[in-house]
Amino acid sequence: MIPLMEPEVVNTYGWLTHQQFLDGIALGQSTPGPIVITATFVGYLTAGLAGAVVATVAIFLPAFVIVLAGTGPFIRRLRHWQPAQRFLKGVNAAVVGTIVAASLPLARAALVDPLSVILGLGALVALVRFRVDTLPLIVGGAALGLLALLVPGLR
Amino acid sequence: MATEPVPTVRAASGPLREVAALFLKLGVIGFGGPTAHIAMMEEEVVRRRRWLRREHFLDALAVTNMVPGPNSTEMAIHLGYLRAGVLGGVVAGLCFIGPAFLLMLVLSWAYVQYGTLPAVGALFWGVKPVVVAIIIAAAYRLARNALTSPWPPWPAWGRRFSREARSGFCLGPGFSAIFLRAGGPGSGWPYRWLRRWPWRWPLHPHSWLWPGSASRPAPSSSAGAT
Repeated sequence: MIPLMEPEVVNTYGWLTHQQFLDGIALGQSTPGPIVITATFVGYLTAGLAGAVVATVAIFLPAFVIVLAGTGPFIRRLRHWQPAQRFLKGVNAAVVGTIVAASLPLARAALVDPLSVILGLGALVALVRFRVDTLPLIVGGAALGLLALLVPGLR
Repeated sequence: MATEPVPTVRAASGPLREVAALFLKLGVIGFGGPTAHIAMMEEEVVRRRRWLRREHFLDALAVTNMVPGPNSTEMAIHLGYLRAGVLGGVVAGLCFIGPAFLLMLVLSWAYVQYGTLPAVGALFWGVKPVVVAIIIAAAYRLARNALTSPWPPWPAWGRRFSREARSGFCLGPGFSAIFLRAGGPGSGWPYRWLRRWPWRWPLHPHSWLWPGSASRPAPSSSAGAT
């Protein structure tokens, strides 16, 4: 959705400069949750707090309508319809493929030094073998990042 | 006044409160983009809480991928809906978006005030490997469920292999057939066809490539392949 947003925001309406929009994407990626939250940034820079609220509601409202009035009720009926199940089986395999494909650049960006590789492997073992919750793992990773920031020799 | 909110919280049904708690949590720790969100949702919803089976999670994921819109948000709404109805979907979506929205408001305000991005990159140095670990674990589980298909026919290969092993690895037509035409045309139906009518063995493609195999008995007979 971000590639669709850029020409409209930057060229058609001229609300933001290109650099501002890039900064907005960077902020959207550094916050937890959906990346489309960049729309909040665009709205805030364009029309203040009200703009941020309007932009956020407008960009997420279709998702609620599509799921709650469309695919949500639809999917329950699909479970008992054999042709659809076969079709979804094919889509599922492709979806898993896209997940693996998307995880490769993430892994290359994440595993940058020996310590990060050790951290990743440790997290994997903790997650799979010891069923540690994701919350302490993420918080622990952030704490280690902060520590690495304060202790320059750590990395 | 202070006791006023308590009954309303109690009034919220169990599933709804679970949905709110889970997606608030995911909204706070959900770093790493849609792929990471999907992986975390699988971890929480399927593996830990067992709200739905992995097949149904995959179905919802497939449908979500086929409609426009932010995938992970739609997946959150889907999971909330499947757990606690329409209200559950609304709550899941709002709880998932809420923390990001508030944080983004603050960051946007700071951006307008100071005109620069905060230097947070170093913080993610420790978070990223953890997110990758979560994705790898979930992708492995999803792949095990999703990549089950009649082709390539691993079980059939195993059966044929063990049949060859019993007949002493003659390295004859049957054994090579595992590798040469495994799963291709003729792996399924001719065997069924031949089992029903054993006299058709000479018509089977095997016997054209390896003339000796015409005398092989039908695979279903327990007399042995020698």
